[in-house]
Amino acid sequence: MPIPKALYISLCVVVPPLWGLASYWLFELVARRRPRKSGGQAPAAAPEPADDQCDRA
Amino acid sequence: MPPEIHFSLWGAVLIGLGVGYLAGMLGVGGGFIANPLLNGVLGIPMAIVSGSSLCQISGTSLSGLLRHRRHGHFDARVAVIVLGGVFCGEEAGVAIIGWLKGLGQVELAGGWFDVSELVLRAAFLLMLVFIGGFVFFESRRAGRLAADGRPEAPRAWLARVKLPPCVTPVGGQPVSVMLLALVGLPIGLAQGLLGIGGGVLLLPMLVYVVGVSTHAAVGTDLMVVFIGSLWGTFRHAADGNVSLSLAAALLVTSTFGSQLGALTTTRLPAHRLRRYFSLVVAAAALLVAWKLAGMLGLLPGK
Repeated sequence: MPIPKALYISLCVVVPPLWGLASYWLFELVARRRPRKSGGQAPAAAPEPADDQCDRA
Repeated sequence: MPPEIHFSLWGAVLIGLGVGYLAGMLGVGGGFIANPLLNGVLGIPMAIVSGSSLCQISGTSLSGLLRHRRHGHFDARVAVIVLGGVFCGEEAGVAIIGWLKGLGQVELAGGWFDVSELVLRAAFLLMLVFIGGFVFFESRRAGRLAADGRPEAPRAWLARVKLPPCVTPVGGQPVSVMLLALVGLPIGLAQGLLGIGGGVLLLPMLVYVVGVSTHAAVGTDLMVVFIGSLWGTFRHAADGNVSLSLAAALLVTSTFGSQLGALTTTRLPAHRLRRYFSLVVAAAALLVAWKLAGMLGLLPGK
């Protein structure tokens, strides 16, 4: 049975951003849990690459 | 209505993973490399490729955008202003593609070719060669400066024109709002005509023309790519050009690749990031050239 056009367009426009959002949260959750498992603190933010500081200067 | 197409699922999975990684690392939607691969390797019609690719890009780019925003690689004001031009360009691109389709077929080199297919592939190739060459030579110059310990010269070409009102991009000088909106026009045109997200054009433009720092440019163009591709998906879906199964296969795999790619961005110096970007563009250009040559019967054995 063919799906209605309105449903088809809605699926095309709504599902990909929802998936993008869900996957971001999933990866964030995994990244936050990783330092706790090792028993240590969260690692410090990586320093900016040297030439990007030149970009910003 | 959704189109009926048959394609290799494993092929789509591999393309999705590779393109997602590049998209996350380089701050592009990935359509410029995914489209030639899906059309040339999997044999999916260009119209379906454009629609499905934009649909996938809208998901991948949002995921990458959120991550870059968290790292502070983002300039929302610039993105919103550029989007004004993107919407105008996209409408023009859709109108041009309709006009090209109306021209039908043309006889060339002893064969009949679809005018729109021929023109779009040639336009794709020209765009990739220009962008890839420009970024490659500029990144080499920046690499030499970094090796010598000298700072990069300011690049914001747009800042030289003083036309109020102005905004100041992250890491840049004040630029005219009106000129900034014009930057979005070719991006929208590329989305409407070629079915790509437009990041391949926007990233160098943000860095060299607007003067946004390379890492902020990555997040900024992901925002433009996300909103632009969402609008493009709507337009293509209304014409029945989006294959849900192809878009889903690409979306799931490319999202994981995108997260890994975004992590790589923070560990790479800016000039090296731009050099990798140019090499990926060169590979895409070679693929399109090969496909175009095959279409015109210029390859040996054809």
